[in-house]
Amino acid sequence: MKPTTIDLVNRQGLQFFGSVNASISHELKNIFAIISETAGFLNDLTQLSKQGKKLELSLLENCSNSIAEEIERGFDTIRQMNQFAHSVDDPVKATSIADTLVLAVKLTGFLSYAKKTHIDDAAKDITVLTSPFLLQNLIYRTLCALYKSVDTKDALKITFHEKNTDTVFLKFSWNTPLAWKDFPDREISDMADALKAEISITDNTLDMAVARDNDTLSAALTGGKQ
Amino acid sequence: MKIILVDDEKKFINMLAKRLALRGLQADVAYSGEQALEKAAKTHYDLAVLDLKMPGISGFVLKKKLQESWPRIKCIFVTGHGSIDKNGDQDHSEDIFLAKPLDIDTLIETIHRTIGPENTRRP
Repeated sequence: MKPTTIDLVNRQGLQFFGSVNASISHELKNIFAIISETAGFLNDLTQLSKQGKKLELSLLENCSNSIAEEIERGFDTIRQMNQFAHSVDDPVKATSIADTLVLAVKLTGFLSYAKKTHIDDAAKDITVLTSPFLLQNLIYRTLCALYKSVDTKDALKITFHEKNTDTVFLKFSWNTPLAWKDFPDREISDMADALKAEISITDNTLDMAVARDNDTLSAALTGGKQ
Repeated sequence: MKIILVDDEKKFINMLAKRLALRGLQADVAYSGEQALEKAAKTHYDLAVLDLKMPGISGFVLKKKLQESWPRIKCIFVTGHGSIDKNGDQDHSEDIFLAKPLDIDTLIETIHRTIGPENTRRP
């Protein structure tokens, strides 16, 4: 039996939140680990200086630069976490494809198996009326599946355009031909159905056609209450 | 006594190597499992400090590969994860896990305990 859209949000949504939270907390721990080691090294230098060893100013400069860089990396991670958390504020709303792709690439970028991914800068942004959370989830899971499948040294390219007034077309491509197995899986298929998205694959492309105005989603996600 | 530190977080592992050096423990660094295996092909390491989650070869797989060539190599795992997924076909009963951020004194104590203080030199 096909799950309802609310079931999808509840069941897969919770898994998605858990997965993203785990990778963000891992990233933050790595950042704090670097800051902690750098602070420890500064303390080591201070102790050596107290013992009469000459302090090299370049070492201090490198340490302060490193800490500043990691703090900026931390803020960037928290900005992504915040943007992701707000994706559940509205069940359905006008959603930027470019912003959704950028966030999905950044969130998946924390995963150890992530590949280099380039989003076409020249693509003109398009807005779709949809569930931002489900769309984010669909793109995130698609990227995870691609990262696990494409060749280790391969990189992904993503572009998008307006196919017609009803559909937005997203294209994921890579170089080394790929023998697909079990994609899309049941969960991705159910999510694509709820989003009125169609996925087609070849050995080096994945095309995703997403409905620009998903008018049935609002009722499905709010139980008809607006 | 030869030590290798393996983590894809370059700044973290470089800083850790510097701090160990200040305490008399010289360690090589590798930024991936693949690089660690290349270095291990040229040098017989006694101890590897391994990040669990790395792009390409994970810490667990790296340990297995290192032990294929050097069965007596000891490993200490370092992880940024809250919990450790020990599922799989490997026996982790003798593995040592340390959480990030590391405490340098705990790491050194663990190194001494793992490979024996007589094998490490203090400054």
